[in-house]
Amino acid sequence: MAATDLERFSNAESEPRSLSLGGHVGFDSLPDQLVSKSVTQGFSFNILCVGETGIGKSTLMNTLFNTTFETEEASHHEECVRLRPQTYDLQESNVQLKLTIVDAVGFGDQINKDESYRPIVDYIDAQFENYLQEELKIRRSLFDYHDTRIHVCLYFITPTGHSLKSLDLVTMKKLDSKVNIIPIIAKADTISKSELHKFKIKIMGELVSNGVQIYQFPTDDEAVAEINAVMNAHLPFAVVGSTEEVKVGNKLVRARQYPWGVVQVENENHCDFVKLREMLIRVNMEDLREQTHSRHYELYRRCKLEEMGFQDSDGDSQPFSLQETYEAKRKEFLTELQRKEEEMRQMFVNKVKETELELKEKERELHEKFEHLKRIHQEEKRKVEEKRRELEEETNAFNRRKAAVEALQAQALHATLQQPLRKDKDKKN
Amino acid sequence: MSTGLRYKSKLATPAEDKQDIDKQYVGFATLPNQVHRKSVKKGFDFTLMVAGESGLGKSTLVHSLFLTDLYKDRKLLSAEERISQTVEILKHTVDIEEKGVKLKLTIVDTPGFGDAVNNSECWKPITDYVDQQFEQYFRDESGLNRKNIQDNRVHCCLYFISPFGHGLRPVDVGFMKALHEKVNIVPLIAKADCLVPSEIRKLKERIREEIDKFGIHVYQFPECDSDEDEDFKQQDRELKESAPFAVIGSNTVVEAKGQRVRGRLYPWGIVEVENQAHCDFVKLRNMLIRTHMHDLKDVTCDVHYENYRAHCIQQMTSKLTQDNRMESPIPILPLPTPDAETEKLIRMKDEELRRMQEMLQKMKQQMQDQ
Repeated sequence: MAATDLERFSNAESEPRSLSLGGHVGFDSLPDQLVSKSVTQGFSFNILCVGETGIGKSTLMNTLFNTTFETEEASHHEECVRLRPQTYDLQESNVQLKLTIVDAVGFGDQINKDESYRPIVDYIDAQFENYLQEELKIRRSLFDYHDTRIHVCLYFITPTGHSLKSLDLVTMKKLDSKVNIIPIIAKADTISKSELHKFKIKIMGELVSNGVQIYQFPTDDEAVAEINAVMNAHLPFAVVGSTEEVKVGNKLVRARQYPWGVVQVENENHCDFVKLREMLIRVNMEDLREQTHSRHYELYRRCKLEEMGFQDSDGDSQPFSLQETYEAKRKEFLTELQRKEEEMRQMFVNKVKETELELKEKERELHEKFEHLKRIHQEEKRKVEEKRRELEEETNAFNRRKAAVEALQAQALHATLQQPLRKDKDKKN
Repeated sequence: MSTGLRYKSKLATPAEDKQDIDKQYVGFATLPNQVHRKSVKKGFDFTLMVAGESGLGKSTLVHSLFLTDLYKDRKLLSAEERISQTVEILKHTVDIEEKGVKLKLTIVDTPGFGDAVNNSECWKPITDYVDQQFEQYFRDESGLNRKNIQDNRVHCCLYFISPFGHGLRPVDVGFMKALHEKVNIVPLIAKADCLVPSEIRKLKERIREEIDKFGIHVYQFPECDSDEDEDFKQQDRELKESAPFAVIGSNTVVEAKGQRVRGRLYPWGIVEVENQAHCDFVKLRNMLIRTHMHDLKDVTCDVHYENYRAHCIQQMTSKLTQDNRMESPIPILPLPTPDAETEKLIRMKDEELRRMQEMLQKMKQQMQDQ
């Protein structure tokens, strides 16, 4: 019933007509309402810093945000790459920013760097997963949710002057579909201007030829299209970071003091720090967040759900709703469960039967043996009895013969005794 | 330069007091002179190995040290080609001459070291190469004709440590531990123009600590004699304190303060390679070429090669006592003395010579027939 009503409504107006207003209505304040709402909500921004140990990641963060984030120096002898997220609350004017800086500690130090990229990719996926779980909850509060998805990855390139390192290429390829990558040339005060130009061209060439998609500053918004296009040509930015202040002229500026000169961080002639700050914070921060949500997160979500078996449309190209799919999945799952239970029960019963049979078999055998033994025993007993009787007979026979012999002997003796007496008697007579 | 001046000043005295000491003067004080003459005539050779990751400025430094370009038409690999690269050994030999002294310089390069994603045992080709050179020399030394032995043993290895880290990395430690008993290792901090002086000090201290901690035996500068002058002692002290050297290389010449110097041009200043306040390049050059080159060769001959030789002979004799039952064409006595070994080698060489003589005879005959 409800479905047909909806259909009627959607087919009624095939295309919206545009009308002109007679006076000022006032819905042009919508953006302002949105802005004031988001200001009260506060913003969150997550930066991932990937680069070799000691390349200047923490110093650059300190310089960018003009504050000191307490980070301890990492050692070169970490067993494997691990990610260290730290969250800070910053405030400027009336805008609150929840900034999370994630450091890839131990990156590039191991002798075997085959698996270096894995902890980073796993961390990014984990943040996406958390958000997805929150989204799929029954009672969810996306309003309050602390978004930990990485909005930008600053990849620090070592200023060798030749080209990218092999590790850089491998890692960036793994990350380019999951996060916005902005490559930076770190410690750029070691490359002279001409070398820098060649280096940048070489790096961009290698990235393009290997199909690595780095973040391009958006050129579709008129207000910032021009500046963004210009900045796109300056990628990767060659930056120098410093939190120390040096007196130049009559001002104190952030700089590095060498015996041969002073490298000023905010001097556009010396390095691209100002450009990076412009692009990253002042112009494109919101775009970075949007891209993360609409491109990278959606890609992750799609892959994950497809893995779980969800589809947008079935064979007849009728759109499935998530609910139906979910129901179907659930039924399937339950039937599967039941089937498995049956199987297990069957197996159990079979096993019991088998064991019973076995036991019976064994019992029978034992019984047979017992019988057998008994028979043998009886047999033996009989034989022994027979023998005993024979023995008795023989002893009897023997006794009789003995008695007979004795009797005979006694007679004989008696006879002989009698004879001499008779002789004597005869003589006497 | 300073070595030359040193002994010449000592020789100056006999000539002045010639008349007085004439009767007592024997004349063997001219021995150093004679040695000098002979060695100039013979010429010197030196083999230097450079090792370290790509992009640390090894070729630029070699260029700055010897002021010749050894790496013409060098092909640099791109990142994807380097993912599973193996380490190669490349030798470049040049003959250079300065004030009549000839030097046959061999630079052994190790491209590909530490470049692949998986660098397990990436120093194995290098240790194999060093062992090979020792073996070659051992064979030559035990041969019959020892006139023209070529000494290809590696006399010194400059190991480049990356300045972008906080100290030694696992691959650095692995390499140095594999080679410290075979070659004189001189560790260097490469591309030192990315470090301010305080950072350089900290990094040097850190590296010295870690070298001690991991038990790595790097090349130690010999102690100077107690009768050397104070200046020299001071220099020597400074040298020892600034190890490992923080170097910068450059193969371009720039204009600074009206002079043309070897250096790097930046928007914020010019780094002069030969300015002692900027980097330790001058110290390295003096140490390597001007004062300690011969000591490096001596340590290689006396310590590393002898260790290898003793080890090799021990192995051979233990193997022989095991194979005693085997039929061998040469009666070998299982004595642990080197004489048995050299005898066997002599006989092998004898056979080789005989064979070669036969071949020569055949060739002669062929030529005669023609």
